[in-house]
Amino acid sequence: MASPSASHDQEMVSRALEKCAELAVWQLALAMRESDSAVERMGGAIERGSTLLSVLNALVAQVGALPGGETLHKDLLTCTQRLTAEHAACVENMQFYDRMVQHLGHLKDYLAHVAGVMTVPGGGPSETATLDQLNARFRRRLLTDAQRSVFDHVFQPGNREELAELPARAARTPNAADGNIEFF
Amino acid sequence: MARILAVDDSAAMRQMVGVTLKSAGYDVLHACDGQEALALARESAVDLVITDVNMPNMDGITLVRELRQLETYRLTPLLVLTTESSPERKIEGKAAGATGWVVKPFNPERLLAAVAKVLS
Repeated sequence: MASPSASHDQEMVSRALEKCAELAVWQLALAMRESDSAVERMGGAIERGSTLLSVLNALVAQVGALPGGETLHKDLLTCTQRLTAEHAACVENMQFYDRMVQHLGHLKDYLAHVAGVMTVPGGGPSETATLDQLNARFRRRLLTDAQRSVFDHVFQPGNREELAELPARAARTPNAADGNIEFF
Repeated sequence: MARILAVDDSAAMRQMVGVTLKSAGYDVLHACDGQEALALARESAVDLVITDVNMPNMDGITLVRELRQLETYRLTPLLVLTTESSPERKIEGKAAGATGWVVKPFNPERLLAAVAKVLS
């Protein structure tokens, strides 16, 4: 049986860990909110760019109809095609913000629940089981192979070096399922 | 031109889907969750619904299921556009009555091709 002083120390550690988790939860909430309006403004710029591109395409078509305008029409057409491709890249890459917010949202919920478990003094088999359930639920909510791989490496002993390399590797390799379209 | 209802709780995603569809000339309506989408779909007829899965109030799978209960939307194409790529969720979507499953981030050209295919 733990002495009163050991039990007190354990409770102090639990409280400190609970505060750490709570701090992480609120910092994540702040980070997710802070970028919202900037990203929305960026989305607005992409939207306006799309409208301007439509106007430009209409003007380019008119140039093609002018006498002697063939060369200019060809050059302008190449430019608008390149702009369209760049615009499509903006639309595609903006969506990674949505994925990041979802990922951080799941992490925030997970930490909030973990902090709740830490408030139970003493710890024991039931708390361990609750944490196992939270871990399993968190893994189910992860969105990409890279996210799941990081999760798995954390729980596998002796894989720290590989774990440290995973985020950089994931940044270089696109998620296999990205952009998949399946019809039923 | 066809009228499309785009449903997502993320403003950035609504913007990106809207930009893509409008660039191809589609008329686009927006809703930020399943509940709002269901109300909109009931009051104005749409030719296609593109919905996210994880949303507050009503998720995308429930929205698909609810729409399929309505006579007007029995045959309307319903595409799910989501970050979820797990087979279990896809099976749920298919069982609910979804027409197709698109994993984010979408490529605008490929999304437009999928839209044209389901509308044809």
